[in-house]
Amino acid sequence: MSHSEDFQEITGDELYSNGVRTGILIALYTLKKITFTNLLKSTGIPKSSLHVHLKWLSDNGYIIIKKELTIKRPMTFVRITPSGMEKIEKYLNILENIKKINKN
Amino acid sequence: MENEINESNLIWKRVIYHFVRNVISFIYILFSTYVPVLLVVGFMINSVFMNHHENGKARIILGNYSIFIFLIYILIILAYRKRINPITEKTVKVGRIMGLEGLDMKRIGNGRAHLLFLLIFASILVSLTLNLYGYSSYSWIPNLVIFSSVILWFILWIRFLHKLTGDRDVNIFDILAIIGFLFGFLGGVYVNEYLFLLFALTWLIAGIMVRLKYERTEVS
Repeated sequence: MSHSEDFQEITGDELYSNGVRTGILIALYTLKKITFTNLLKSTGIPKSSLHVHLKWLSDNGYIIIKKELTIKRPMTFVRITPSGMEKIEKYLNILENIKKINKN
Repeated sequence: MENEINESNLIWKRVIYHFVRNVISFIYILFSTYVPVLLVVGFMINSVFMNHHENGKARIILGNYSIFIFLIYILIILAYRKRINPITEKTVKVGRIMGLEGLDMKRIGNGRAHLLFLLIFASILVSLTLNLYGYSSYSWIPNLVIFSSVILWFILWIRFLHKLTGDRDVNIFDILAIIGFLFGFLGGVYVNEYLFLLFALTWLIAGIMVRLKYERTEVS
């Protein structure tokens, strides 16, 4: 894939064109799952805004939001789906390609 | 588009920073319990059990309790490392693509960090064995290795976190843990072994405070 095709793929995708959503999904790609509060505290995104981003990611099948019972109390966990993993792997490959091309 | 890439990079770094902070707080808290556990178990064995087991295998086992406790700590840390290893590997992979390549990422991600842990564990084990068998005059060698390795471990983590956040601020509780380790370890080895408790206390405070700041709490 050429540099321009890579770039087009990133700019043309609804997920990739939103930095916050992509960032959340990359974080989930790395950690697999995270609690809602931890995500809220670590990202510094306002709660309502985070809800909107997570809902979009969930509606598109990239993440699963589920309340689970833990020793402490019920916690809301956010997990990445195989589809989300695939999407981020693709994104990282494109970024890596762009980086390689820019280096040469 | 560059803005979106930078934004996603920033969000990822923030989340990973929190995760790394949680890992460090776990290590602080875990190792803060080591000296008190040794003292309590030692006291219990000397005052209660040793009187009833004057001879035989039980006395040998009970007499070498510090090594058995240490092995339990090794197992805990190895299990924890195994659990977080996939995350470490992915952090290194994503970090490299995100432009975080360099000395720190490599050192954290590959075998060098594992080697450092093994070096600390082996040195403590050698030090405990030397003390148990009456060769404590030679224990300065493993002590020096432990001391240098822990300081190196601190430098490694702090440099890694700086790389992640891009700033030069050092967390006050890391400083407390470093000072506690310096005075506690040197004091414990050369002045009085109860000064090891200073190390335990400062690491406990550092661990709890870091944990509270970056706690994985959840909404009800």
